[in-house]
Parts: sequence; structure tokens; C-alpha cells
Amino acid sequence: MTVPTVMKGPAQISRRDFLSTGAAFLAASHLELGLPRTTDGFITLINLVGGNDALNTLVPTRLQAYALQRPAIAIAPAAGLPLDTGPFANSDYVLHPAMPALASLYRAGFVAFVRTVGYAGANMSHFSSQDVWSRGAVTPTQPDSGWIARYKDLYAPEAINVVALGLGQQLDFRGGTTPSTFSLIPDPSTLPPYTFTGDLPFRANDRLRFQVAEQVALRARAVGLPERARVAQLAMWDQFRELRGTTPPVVPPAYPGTSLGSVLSSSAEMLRAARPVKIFYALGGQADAFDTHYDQGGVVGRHAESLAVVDAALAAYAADLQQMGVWNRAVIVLFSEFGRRNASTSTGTDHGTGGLMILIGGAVRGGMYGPDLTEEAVSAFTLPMLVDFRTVYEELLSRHLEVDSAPVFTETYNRQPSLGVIL
Amino acid sequence: MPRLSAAAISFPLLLWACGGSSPPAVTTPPEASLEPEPGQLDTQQVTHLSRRTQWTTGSYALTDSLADGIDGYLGELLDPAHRDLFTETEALGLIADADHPTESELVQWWLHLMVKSRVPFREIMAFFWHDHFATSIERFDRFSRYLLKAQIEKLRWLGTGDLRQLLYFMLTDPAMLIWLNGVDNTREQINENLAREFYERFTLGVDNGYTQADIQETARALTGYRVERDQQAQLDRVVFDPSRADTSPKTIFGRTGNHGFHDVVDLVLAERPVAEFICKRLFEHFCYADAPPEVVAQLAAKLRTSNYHIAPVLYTILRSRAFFAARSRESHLKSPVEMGVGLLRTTRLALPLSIVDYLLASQGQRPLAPPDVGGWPDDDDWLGAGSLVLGSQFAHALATSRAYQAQHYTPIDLLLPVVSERTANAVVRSLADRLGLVLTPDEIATYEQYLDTQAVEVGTELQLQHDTFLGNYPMHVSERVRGLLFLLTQHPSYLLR
Repeated sequence: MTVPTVMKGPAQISRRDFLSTGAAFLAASHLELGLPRTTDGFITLINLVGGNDALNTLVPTRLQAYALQRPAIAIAPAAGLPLDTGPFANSDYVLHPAMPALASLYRAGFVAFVRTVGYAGANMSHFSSQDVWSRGAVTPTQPDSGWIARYKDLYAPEAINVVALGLGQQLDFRGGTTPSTFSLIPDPSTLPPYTFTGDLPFRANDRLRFQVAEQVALRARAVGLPERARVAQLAMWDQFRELRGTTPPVVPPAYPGTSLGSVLSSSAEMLRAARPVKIFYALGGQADAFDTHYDQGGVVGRHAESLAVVDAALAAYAADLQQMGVWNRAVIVLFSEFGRRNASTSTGTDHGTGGLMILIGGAVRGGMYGPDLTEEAVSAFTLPMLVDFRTVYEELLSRHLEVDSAPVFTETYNRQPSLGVIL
Repeated sequence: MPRLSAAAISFPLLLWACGGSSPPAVTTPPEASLEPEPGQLDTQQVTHLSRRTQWTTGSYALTDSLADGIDGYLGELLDPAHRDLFTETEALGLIADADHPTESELVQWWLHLMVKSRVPFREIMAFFWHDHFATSIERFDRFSRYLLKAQIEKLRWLGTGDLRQLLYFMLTDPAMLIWLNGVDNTREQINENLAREFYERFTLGVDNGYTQADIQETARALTGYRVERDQQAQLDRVVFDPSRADTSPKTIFGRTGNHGFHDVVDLVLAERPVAEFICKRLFEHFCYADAPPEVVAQLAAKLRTSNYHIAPVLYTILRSRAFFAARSRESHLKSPVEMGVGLLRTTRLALPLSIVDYLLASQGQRPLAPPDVGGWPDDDDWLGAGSLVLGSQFAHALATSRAYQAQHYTPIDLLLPVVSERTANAVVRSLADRLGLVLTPDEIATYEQYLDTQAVEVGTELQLQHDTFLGNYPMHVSERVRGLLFLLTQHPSYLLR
């Protein structure tokens, strides 16, 4: 593929804007503009599980229907974060006030919003819709494996190539034949001091212990143990050795003490150690964090709290990736199984259809993608699904990871031209 | 341990053991036979019984209980009056305000029971049914969370009891009615959720003997409940409101009448293979997947002739040749709860319940928080969730929480032979036996070598030198023995349930 350069001109101003937004963003002198993007791209998927409310995340400022539909939870344009400066200045939308880091990144040209994302025949059940997103196919059980598992089997067979950050991604990883790596995530603040503490005599014994465990696992015969369990266990020891070998821990930039903050710091650790990871996958919150049937709120409330958790982790992660010089290889993807109903209920919103996908990183061409929201769309029952999510995933695979996406997404769908969201 | 009088247990046992079983088929392989396992149980079989019925691993746990024979043991196991009131009281003490428990308090209440109860089979069966009637705490708030505790109490009480009663209770359970939108189901506008899951998950299985029309008619039969918020007491109550109930005739499974909640249960039991569905689940939980149809048929017949009492079916399973066959001992992987609670019960080492809660949640199996109404995954589906790594972290936390265990009077020395006999070999053997592991001589030698090795970091290099294990030397005991305990939990065989 050709290697485009990072945005010029307006981006110079906007980068300064970005870098000056706060202490979270450390100066990144090696991040020269025009630096050719390395072909070694990686993707960090963050699943806002539960159905993130697209309309209150990226708020339309000029549509009267918006406030009419949502008396309980509408966000006034003046209360949102402006996106009207930088290379992709846009005053038709403001961002939810709980996401200042994302707003800065947008103004710096690093964020793409893809509106009305979904799939044909939208299903408003969490289970069905998550099933579609994770398999990358609408027809039930055809195929019956996660798209990440298919990608991995085809293109990324080493366990370390695909990393599940934390738990809850069974759907996307199921059905593969090559094991994935699972990060060691426990939040240190909640655990007794049992890991590699640097406490020298014990640390040595820890290392020996892992060696012996692996040695036994390699030779042991466990009658009746399924082969898949044996493979998974060996992969685990491999992983312990890889990740907890001799490299002394580097104190990361301050990540928030949330589980998302903790797993994104693990992701950064692996990148710092130059591990060949292609895909990271994390959950953006607890199961009901974005399922805002009640107490959703507008500027404050459950939705604001959930978005703030994502934004804080994102701020630290983006700063860290910049600092270590891998920002241009990064695409961070925020997605959700569906958006929510246009009209609010007494205190929240029910399940809807069209959603919002957000791509962030040095490899992203910022701006607004997908059809603009209209009075008609916002007046309707629920937002339409006009951009099939696989259009974006296929572009990520073909343009960013540089593999043929066709064998991964085998189902026929209304395939659109690439959005051009990857530089 | 309190014991029932012989008379109280022998009468029903005789009935269960003798009634209704088919004549012995000479050609039936042991793994497909429900005939009682003949003869004395060997160590591996006792270990297996202990794993399935006590959430412990070593055979040591049952030595006393089996002194009077397996029939006496099973009788006590299946007797709902057999309780551990002391631990139940202790567990209740973890909840500050019974009307408004927090999520952590409720999870830890149950974890305490699982880890400490002297009658763990009650929790094993309650957890089995919790997985079956999977209701998640995430659906509830401070007004309603107490209702989920009430549901779990029903499962704890009826776990080995009357299936018909259990189904009555679950269909009218306030937490269930909230979780599956029974409280939103009115005669003006039906909500099918509860009716659909009742057939799909609770009684028949997906598309097994019901139609969309049956679901809709059933939903109409289940109308009438709503939530009423008591602002004074800050509690949500689920109340029956006749004005919301549909009292016109409904036709379910071809039978027309003014059916209500009880009729739905009675109809499905009378007209459809509920007994087969439930017995298959029970057999597969305790034995192995893909239960032979003839075994399921025999168990279902047993359930029907016992008027839907579950205990006789459990007795048949747990006493059977199939249960003690190698296939049953080898086919399942431990779930995170089985691994974690099992380790705590087996080693009796202390770990704060908040940490246990955190680690189980990290592995994706926080009790009271099933991912959805389908319950948790089984067996090697767990491998895809990173839980192997986190299970390993659990074992590591348990093996290395030295200070906490010292504070709670559960030093690791209690797991070891007496000091004078504490050779490397004896230590390996005693810990392996406690964990129910059968090791090869080669593996024993490897673990002994580990105990006899001093590891030192020189720069980034790890240097190993021989250093004879001395069982009475505190440094060796605290570090190497703990290391060994961790290593044994990571033996591939220990993954097996």
C-alpha cells in the first residue's frame, strides 16, 4: 500500500492544540509531522457493551427534533464540547461533556466519527446483536466463529498476536483453532502483594516456579483432559514467560484506577516490550454501563459516568502511545452493539438500532463519516443503520493490518466503498 | 457433624434404591449403567465423590463421612433438613442492612456459605439451579436487591426438593418477575420474555415441544404482577394486581382453560418432556456430557414416579456405576467457582472474600452475576475467556497471601506432615494427596527438585543451585512450600473437575 503522510497544514496547529490540552498529554518530540506511518499497525477494540446512546454521545446541534424527542435527557449545544476547530472543524455536532480528551483528540485531527453504523435487519436484543457484531455475520451460526478468531487463524497464528484485555470477549474469540493471549490484568490496588514484587529473594523463586510449572505442563499426561485445554495451558505458560520474563516493570503514565485503565496500561506494556500484537480487545465498561434504560441523565448521570470512565482511560492510553512513539501505528475503535431509541422514556432510553463508531489514532483520518443526521432520522422511532459495520472492519483489516479481509467476512452484505478512514 | 437417626434416613433410601429401576442389563457398560456401584470405593472414586459433592479435592475429606457406607452419606447429603446454621448465621452477618444489601455483600454472603459451610452440597445444588434459572444482580438496585437474595434462598431450600414446587416458586419469584419482565406483562400488552425463557431455558430446551402460540398464550396466563415502590421503607415489592391479569381462556399445548401460574407448570409437566430435560442436565452436570438417551429415560421415569422429587434422582445418579466410571471422572473442566471455592475448601487457607469476589468476577463467574439468562458457559468454553490465566492468578494469590493467612490462623504448615517427617518427598506427596492429584514418579522428582533448589537473580539471569529442603526451616516452608502448592494447582490434571 502507499504510505500516506499524516495531515499537514491545519494539523500542525491542531497538534499543538492537542498537545497543549493538559498534563495528560506529554510532549512527544519524536512525533514529527510527515513521518511515514510504519506499516506495523495494531488495533485496540473497546466494546461499549450494552448499547451506547449515539445521539447523546455525538450530539446534533442544529436538529430541533433532538430536544423534542428527549425532554428527559437532551444535552444543550452550549453544554457539549465543541468540535469546531482543527482540520475537521464541525459545528453541527458537539461531544458529550464527559469526554474532554476525545474532544481534544478530535480537534487535533485524530478522531473519526462514523454515524448510523449497524447492519441490515437490525435486532434490538443485546444477545442477537452482540452475536452479529462478534461473528461479523447476520445469518445465525453462519459462520459460527468470531471474526477475530477467523482473522487470527488466517493471519496471526502466534498467541501474542491477538490479546484479550480482561474478560468478556468470549463471543469474538470463539471458534478459533489458534490460542490467543489473555492479559494479566488484576488491578493491583485490589490484590494482596502476591505477584512479582521486585522483592528479590521471592522474585527469583517466582521465576523458578513458572519455569517448573511450564516444564510439568509440557510433559504431564492428564487423562481425559481435552486437547484444547492442554494447548490453552501451554499458551498460558508461554505468555507468562514472555510477559513476565526479565524486563523490569516500567512505571506507566498515570492510568485511572478503573478496569479499563488497568487493561489499557497492560496493552501499552506489551507495546513497550515490542510484542507483535495486531489486535487488542477490551470491554469499555460493566455489562450494564451503557444499557441506559433508567437514570441515563444528560450532562450528568449514568451515561456521563460511563463515558467519563472511557475518556479518562483513553486520555492516559493516547498519551502513553504518543510517548513511546507508536501513535502512528494505532487505531483505537470504540463500538457498541446498537444505539438507542430516539425518544427518551421517563429517565432513560430503550434499545435502538443505528449506532456510533469512533476511531482514534495516528493512523486515522479524522472527521465525520456516514450520512449526516437529519430531522427526519432523529424524528423517527430509532436511527437508521446506513453504514454496515463490516465496511469499517474490512477497511481496518485491509488498509491498516494489510491483509485480505474477504476470507474473514464471508457473508454477502451491502458492501459499500471504503470510507477512507485509515490514512 | 449432626447426624440423623438411622430410621429417618433408611426408609426413603430403601424406596429410592429399590423402586422403579429396570432389570440389570448384562451388556450395559458401566458408564451407562444406573445400577449401584458394587463393592468398596477405591481412592480415586472417593476423591471423585468428594469433588462433586463437597467442592473439595482430596479423598481425606470423606474418610469420616463414609465410615458408615455411601448410603448413609448420600442420605445425609440429600436431606434438606441437614443444615449448617452456624455458618448461615455468620454469613448473614456480612450483610449490614438486610433490606438494602449491597452487591458485594450479597455475593460475599453466598461465597462465605460456599467456602465455609459444613453442608456444601446445599450450595452446590443451589448454584446448579442458579445457573439454570440464571438471574443477574446487575438488574437490581438498592430497592430491589433483597429480592434476589430471597430467590437464592429458595434455591438453597428446594435444591434437592420438589421440582414442581420449585417451578411454581420460580414463576412467581419477585426477582424473576423483574428480571424477565413478568412485571411488565399485562393483559393489555403482553411481554413474552418470561414465558419464552420458561420453556426455552427452564423446562424444555430450545424449540423442544412448544410453539410461538404456546408462548403467547402462556404469557397471557402469567399476567397480573407489577412492582410497587414503598418510598417509606425504600423497598420495591412485587404485588399481584387482578386488574392487570388476563382472565379469559387460554389454549396451551392444546388444552383450553382459564390458566394461571400453577396451571402453566402443571400443564408443561403433564404434557411435555420436562423430566427428560431436567434429568439430562442433572446427569450431565455430575457425570459427563451427551448423556445416553436410555439413561435419561430411566432417570426421567424415576423423577415422575417420585412425583417430581429431585432427591431420588440425585441419589440414583450419585450411587450409580455411571457416576463412578472413568468417563465421569475425566470429562469436565473446573469452572472458576469450582476451581476457586474448591481450592479454598481443600486447603482451608484464608483469602479475603473481597479478593475472592474480585478474582471470580475477573474470570467471568461472579456468583449472582451470570452473563445472561442462559447461565455460564461449560467446560472448555471457559478456556476462551482468559480464565485460565486468572485461575492461575487465583491459585497464586492463595498460595502467597502469607501475611493474611497468618492473621487468620490458617498457616500453610497445617497442610504438611509433622516437622520430623517433613522431607521433600513427604511434602510433595501430602500436598498432592490433598489436591487429589495422582502424580508420576517423574513428576514427584521434579517437584522434589524444586523444593531442593535455591533460585537467585544475578542481574537478569536466574541462577539455580542445590539447597536441600529443610522442612523445619521457616524460609523454606513459607516460600518453597507455597511455591509447590501453586505448582500443584497448575498441574494439567487439576484443570479437571
